[in-house]
Amino acid sequence: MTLVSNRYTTIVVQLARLGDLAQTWLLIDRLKKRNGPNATALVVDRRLREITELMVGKNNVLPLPINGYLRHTATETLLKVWREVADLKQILASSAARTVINLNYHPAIAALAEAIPASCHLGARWKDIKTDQPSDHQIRELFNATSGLRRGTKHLSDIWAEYAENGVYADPLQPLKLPEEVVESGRRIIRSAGIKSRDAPIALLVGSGLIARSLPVSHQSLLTAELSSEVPVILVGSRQEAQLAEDIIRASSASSECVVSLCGRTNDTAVLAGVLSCCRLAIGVDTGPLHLAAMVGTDCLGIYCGSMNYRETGPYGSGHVVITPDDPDYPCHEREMEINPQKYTDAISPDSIIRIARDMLHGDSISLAPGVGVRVFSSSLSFKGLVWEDVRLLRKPKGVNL
Amino acid sequence: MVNHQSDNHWFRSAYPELYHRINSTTSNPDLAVTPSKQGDLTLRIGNVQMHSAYNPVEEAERLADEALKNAASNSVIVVCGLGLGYHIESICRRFQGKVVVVEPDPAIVKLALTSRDLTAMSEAALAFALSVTDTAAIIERACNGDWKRIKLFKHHPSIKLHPEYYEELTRIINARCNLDASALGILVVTPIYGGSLPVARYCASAFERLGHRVETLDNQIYDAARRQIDTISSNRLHRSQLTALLTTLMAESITARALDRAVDLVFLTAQSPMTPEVAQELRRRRIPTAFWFVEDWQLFTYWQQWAPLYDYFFTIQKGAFQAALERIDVRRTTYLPLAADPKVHRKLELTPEELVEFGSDVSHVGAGYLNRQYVFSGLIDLDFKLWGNDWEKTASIRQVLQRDGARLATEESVKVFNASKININLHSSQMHEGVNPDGDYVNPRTFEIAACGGFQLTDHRSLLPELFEEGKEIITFRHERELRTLIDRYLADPDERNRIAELARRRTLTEHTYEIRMAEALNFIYSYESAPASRQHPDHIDNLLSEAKDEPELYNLLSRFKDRGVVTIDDIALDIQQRDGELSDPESIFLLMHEFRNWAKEKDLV
Repeated sequence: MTLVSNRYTTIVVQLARLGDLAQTWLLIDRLKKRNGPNATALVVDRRLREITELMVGKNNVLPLPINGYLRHTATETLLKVWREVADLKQILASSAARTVINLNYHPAIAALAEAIPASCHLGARWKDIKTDQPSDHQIRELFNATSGLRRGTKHLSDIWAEYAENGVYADPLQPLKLPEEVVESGRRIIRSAGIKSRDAPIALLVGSGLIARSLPVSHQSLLTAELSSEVPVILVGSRQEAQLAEDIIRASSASSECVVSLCGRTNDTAVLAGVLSCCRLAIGVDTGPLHLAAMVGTDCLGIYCGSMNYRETGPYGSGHVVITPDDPDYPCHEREMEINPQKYTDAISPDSIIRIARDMLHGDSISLAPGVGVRVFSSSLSFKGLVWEDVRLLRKPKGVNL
Repeated sequence: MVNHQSDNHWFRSAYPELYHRINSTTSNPDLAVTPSKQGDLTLRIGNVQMHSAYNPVEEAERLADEALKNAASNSVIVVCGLGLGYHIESICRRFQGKVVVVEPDPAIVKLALTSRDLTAMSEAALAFALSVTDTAAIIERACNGDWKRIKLFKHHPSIKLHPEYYEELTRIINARCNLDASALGILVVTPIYGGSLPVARYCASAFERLGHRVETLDNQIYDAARRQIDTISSNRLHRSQLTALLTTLMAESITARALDRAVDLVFLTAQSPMTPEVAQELRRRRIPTAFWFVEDWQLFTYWQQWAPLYDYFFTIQKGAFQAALERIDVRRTTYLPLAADPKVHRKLELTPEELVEFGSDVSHVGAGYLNRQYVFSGLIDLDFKLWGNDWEKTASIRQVLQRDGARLATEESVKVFNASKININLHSSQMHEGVNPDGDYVNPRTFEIAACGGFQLTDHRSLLPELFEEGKEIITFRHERELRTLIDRYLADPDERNRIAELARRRTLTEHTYEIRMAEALNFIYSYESAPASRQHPDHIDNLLSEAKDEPELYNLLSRFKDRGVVTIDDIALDIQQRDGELSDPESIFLLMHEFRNWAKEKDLV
């Protein structure tokens, strides 16, 4: 568990979850373009090692068994943990860089990032976090965006991009190009699951990370039933979500040739990226797989209700669409959503999602009628960064009977 | 038949006083010295064969092997039992370190000295014909207070002759060994209110002054809740159910705190909250519990249900009470009289205003029990001040009652003890109209007045003479007439008052402080307990220091926590954060570790 050398210009510390990591792609892409393909390293949670290797190169990843360290603080003796942490510190101390960027507003991660010798430390500093007085205004925004307030207007990726090139988007963002063998492994998994059609499927991201964010089974089964009549649908999620996927399939009454569950079969994040890269469209709430799909260039339809604020954490890149409730109180505080999740997850009707998904599949403009309680936004990239365009809903959409 | 081989001159010259004492001991006709088959003398006492009847010398070699097994060069071998000294000779010949020989029976010592040449043991420390306490003092000198060096060797035939003596000695040695390291972690649980609340606090302070790591669960904060329950419902059953819930909350807090702080001992005083479930849970987790029953066992009989639930039960009465406890199978119990806290109960320089307010010829501080009500009604012609609550305000009492019978704070009581010429200390009784003729235990006020240097007249108690010398250190009365006579006598003789008070003060400070009591309690507890539970904890400071001994920087950092028992990452992080200057490498690692620990808590992994 070491970085290969001291050759790094920048070491980025990103110890959050898959979605946050995928959203740092812009920053990583810019750093690689500016400093060369092997001048950027990423310090990540070991569980995200595979996808990170695809992002920065095999030898430029420092995967840390964070959960192991944390669990050991509860189970192991004081000096055993001390020695483990001392070893970790030694590893970090041997991984020098010109700049270290810490992308997590967390005291433990900040302390860990500061153990890496660098002439410049950017991002949240340990002392700032302990006193809750971030000296870096960008980090203050980052903190506000992730603290559950959900009232921000700036996308996390834009904040991180500031660290890459001072907020100027010289080149359009390119998706992460996966090696052919990774894409092929994705295709193989889809085929082996029983999808006969050669059409690229739709990925329905059934999970949510937080239970309060999950779309009801009834919504997801309706989506599955309707969309699978046109295009194969794969249900993507973790092993824990396998039962949920089975329930969705059963309730949809869809043919097993058109709908399959891959839940639990894509735990390797590189494999998951391969699967998502083979899909025409990924549909889901604000989750890691949604951002991963966006990172590998698959069109995304994000369902952002309750506390999920698309302006902060919408799928990054050009051509994605998000659907939100047409409600002045949107987005709400995270806590409110936890208290009454159904109020928020029911706010967007499955019919609206189906309509937009069909338009996206067919390459049509959005043909949703107003008055169904939702708003739709599509993303594009300008030289200033990500722009969300409010899609004007038509009064009399062609051939639509909602 | 005794075969005089030596008169052991070395013994006579090294221990002249002991020699004469031993020499004047009457010989025991049960001691039979006869030649063994091999020819050396052997000894039989009654049915007990003390040495081999065939070859005592060869047997002694085998015993010495056993005694010296795993002995280090700095060990102190304590040999329990002299016999004719064969095994000791063998040990002394083969071991260059210190040896202590213990033999409580002077007749055996006399016989051994007159039967055999014991010059081989002339370098050993001898604890012959001594009390257990004096023997322990000799052993302590031999090991320079480092009890971990002691290696006990028991000569089993000798043990059979004096089992109780050796059992007590073994317990003392065990206790000293178990307590002879860094501090214990002690959780003191106080009652919500009442007279034993300050006692619990004094115990906590005493443990701290003894160098232990003390956690106090001060339950006085629940007093408002207790009083609130009394007003919630007129239904007695409902009130008692609510009180039970409050008790459960307080008792469960004991387990939570004890586990959180990895304590070695939970110490409670009378009325401290507890439930059988919590007592059992603590026992299951091998955290010993000790309860100091500072109540009159005949008035408060709840001990019958509760004493068996505690591992150690201390009492302020003995005799019949100890026997009653044994009958309900409470064995680990001992008499532990009350005491004073010299930090609280002390001589004061009072201002003239305080002398006016708190001073008088005669005073009493205490609650209005029946016997006091009667006795003090007869003292109203004196310059008498009565302090305290729960007095029946009769015309006579009203004349002397101060502050309309308000309860006096401890610090004010101390001022009264200091300012009064005579403090009357009449032990309470609701059954008598005067002095309780059968009173046994000694109340805390006795020690408190004495520690303040106050002069007191106290009613006679059967357990008082072993604590204070009556007539010299303390003056007692057995009835009201005698009290009156003594008041007149001592009011007229201030020098005598001061002389007696000073003697009582000295005795209290040297023998009757809470520190001394708590040390006795711990000695008692750890004569039964093996090493304190927390010592086995890998994060006990002793274990941490031992593990870090080859890493000087880490060792130095951890050395700051000597005597802290089990050390947690929170303790270390707090210590580091309170210091100035550059962080050392081990410090920065601990801080990072502390952040991980907090993170784990956030994620509910801890």
